[in-house]
Amino acid sequence: MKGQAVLFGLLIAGAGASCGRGVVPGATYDQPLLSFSGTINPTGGLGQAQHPIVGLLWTDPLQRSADVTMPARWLQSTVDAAADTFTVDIFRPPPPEAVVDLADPSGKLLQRLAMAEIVIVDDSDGDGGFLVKGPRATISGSERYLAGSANVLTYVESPFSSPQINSPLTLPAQIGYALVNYNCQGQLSAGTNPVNPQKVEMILQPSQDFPDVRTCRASHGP
Amino acid sequence: MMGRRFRACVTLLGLLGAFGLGAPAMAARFAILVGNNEGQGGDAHLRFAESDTVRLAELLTRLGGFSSGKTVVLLARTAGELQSALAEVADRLRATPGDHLVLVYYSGHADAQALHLGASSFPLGQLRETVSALPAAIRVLILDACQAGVLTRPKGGRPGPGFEIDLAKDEATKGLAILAASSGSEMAQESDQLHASVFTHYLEVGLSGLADRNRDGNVSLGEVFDYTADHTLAATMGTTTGPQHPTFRLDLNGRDDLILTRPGLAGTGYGHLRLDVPGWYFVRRADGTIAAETISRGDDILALEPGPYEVTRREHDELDVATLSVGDGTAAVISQTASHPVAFGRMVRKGQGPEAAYALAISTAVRTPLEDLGLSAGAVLAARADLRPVSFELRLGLGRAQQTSEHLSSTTWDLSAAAAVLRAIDVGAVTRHSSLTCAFGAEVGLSYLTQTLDDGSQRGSFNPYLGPVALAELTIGRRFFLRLDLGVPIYALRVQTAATTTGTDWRPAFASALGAGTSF
Repeated sequence: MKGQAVLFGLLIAGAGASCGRGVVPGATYDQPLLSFSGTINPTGGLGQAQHPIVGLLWTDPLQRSADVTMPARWLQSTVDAAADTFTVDIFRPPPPEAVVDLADPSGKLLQRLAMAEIVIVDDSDGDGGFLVKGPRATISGSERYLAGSANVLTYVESPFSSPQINSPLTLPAQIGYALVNYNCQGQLSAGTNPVNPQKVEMILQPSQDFPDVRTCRASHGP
Repeated sequence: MMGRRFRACVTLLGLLGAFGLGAPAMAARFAILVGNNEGQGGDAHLRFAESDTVRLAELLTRLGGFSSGKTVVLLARTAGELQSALAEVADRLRATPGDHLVLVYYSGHADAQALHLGASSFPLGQLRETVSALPAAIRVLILDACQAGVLTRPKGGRPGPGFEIDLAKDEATKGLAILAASSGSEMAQESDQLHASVFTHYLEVGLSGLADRNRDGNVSLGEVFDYTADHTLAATMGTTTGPQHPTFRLDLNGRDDLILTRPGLAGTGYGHLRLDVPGWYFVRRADGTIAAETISRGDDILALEPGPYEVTRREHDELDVATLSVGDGTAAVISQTASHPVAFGRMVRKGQGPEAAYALAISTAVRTPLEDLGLSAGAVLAARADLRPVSFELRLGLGRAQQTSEHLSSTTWDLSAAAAVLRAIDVGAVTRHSSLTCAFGAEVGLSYLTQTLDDGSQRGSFNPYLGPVALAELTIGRRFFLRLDLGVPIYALRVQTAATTTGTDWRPAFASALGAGTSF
């Protein structure tokens, strides 16, 4: 009994003595954090694409930092050009540099979040990724934008402390990934609403260099 | 102390020849040796009284000139049988007048009044009178018995007044020497380590040659008493039972330098071990019992029964072990015998070295993955203190684990510090080049894990752990060793349980390390 008590005490003490940011287990991201799929409109628009892939373009809603693309290994996508459908599995949170702080005028942190445009890119070099540069996320290299979504992918790392305060950018009290639809009325947003992850809509890109397909809340790096 | 008093008593009248081995036929040697492991109702069972008696009889027969026809050994006998044996010897002495020597030895239980020969008693007064009355020139009475005792396997008996030999200085006691294993109310002790009574052990060792102070090849009564008294006292000084002071009373009519044995003599059926290298010696028989223990200046000769022996020699902080064979009439010489060094830790555990030995080791180490972080490979630096009961070890480790899965890659550095307590077991005997020691115990430690993800982000956490450990060390020579560590550390591991939250989970791992070290 005494030995068991000592062992139990050691276990408790050991558990209490551990501290710090824990390790990320190697199998943490074996399962997708978010999966979604949808259609591409109008149909038949991707017929000439060599390697169409879905990409995420992380953008600072306050335009303070440069846009960041999601590393190729962090998501998997399939684009069926013939059927005009796509699927996406996201396995990792956004890159750390994509997560931005929203603070009130006094500097108090209100929320930590990231926001991504969902695009379809012709990955001509077949490396699974793409790069952007410039203030409007101009695609670089030989890749080109094929399509984009009016919906936005958001990732909330630290939500508002008060659930009564709703972010204009994300759905309330939501930690992790979410698909958000901005109700654009011209260049203004009339609010947000959730998106059915199986019904994300892509529309063919008006420009092969720039990702903008939405009339409101189109924010890209400075 | 006692030995000096003994020596002060002696006077030399040159009667050695009359009682030496080469003495004329008229000076015969008779011996009655009595051993009884059993006493009376309250007496504890003794383990070695009878075996001591047999061994001493053999030694006296071989080295002391006591012929087997004149040596009577009584084991587990009654007081009546002792009385009969004494009477028979008295008759034989009367039948062949001369300057004979009679030695009476008793090992067993006693109290202040009588020897306890099983259920029977032999009054001390009667013993004294009977031995004194034996028609011999010299009578030696050796009593290895005591009053009482419980601890350290003392020879049992009922508590009572001091066990002083009350020997009146009258004419009847002329030529009588009495040696007793203890004085006053002390207890005479048996030793499991010696497999003998302490007093009789040193008596035998002294008679075998180590008491030969003047190196003349003979051991006199004075020499062997000095040796036995000094070593018995030294050996019992630290026991819980307390020190044991052998005592004597004698009146030998000037025959004090009576030669009891001649261990240097050839043709006795014994062989010799020449301790010609200074050091502290332990001589063990094949059955593990200690044949002799002595500090030699390098000029001692020990007579031993033929057979194999293990001789351990310690000098300063070094210990060597030699296995040798003593043949009938031949001499084994330490300086000409191959010996093997004994590792320091083993010395400490055997109680034959310093209080502690120390070791430093470095090993390559691997640990099974924690939370799929990959196999950790690195190095461990260990510092150990070997004490007699346990060993303590401090371990500093550094390891690196790399993990790559389909969607995540990370590198984790593990910096750890641990303390282990180990119980070491020396396996087998020391061979010519090496010896094996195994140890088992537990360790408790703290690990600082730093994980760098493929996105460049870093996270660090302190993670205590504990678990069982095992260690095998193959010692090469005296100072160097190879070691294999095995352990099952159980970590209180900080783990990211969700995107932004961390919890503590208990996670076991298996760790092993292979390395080398040195002890000092």
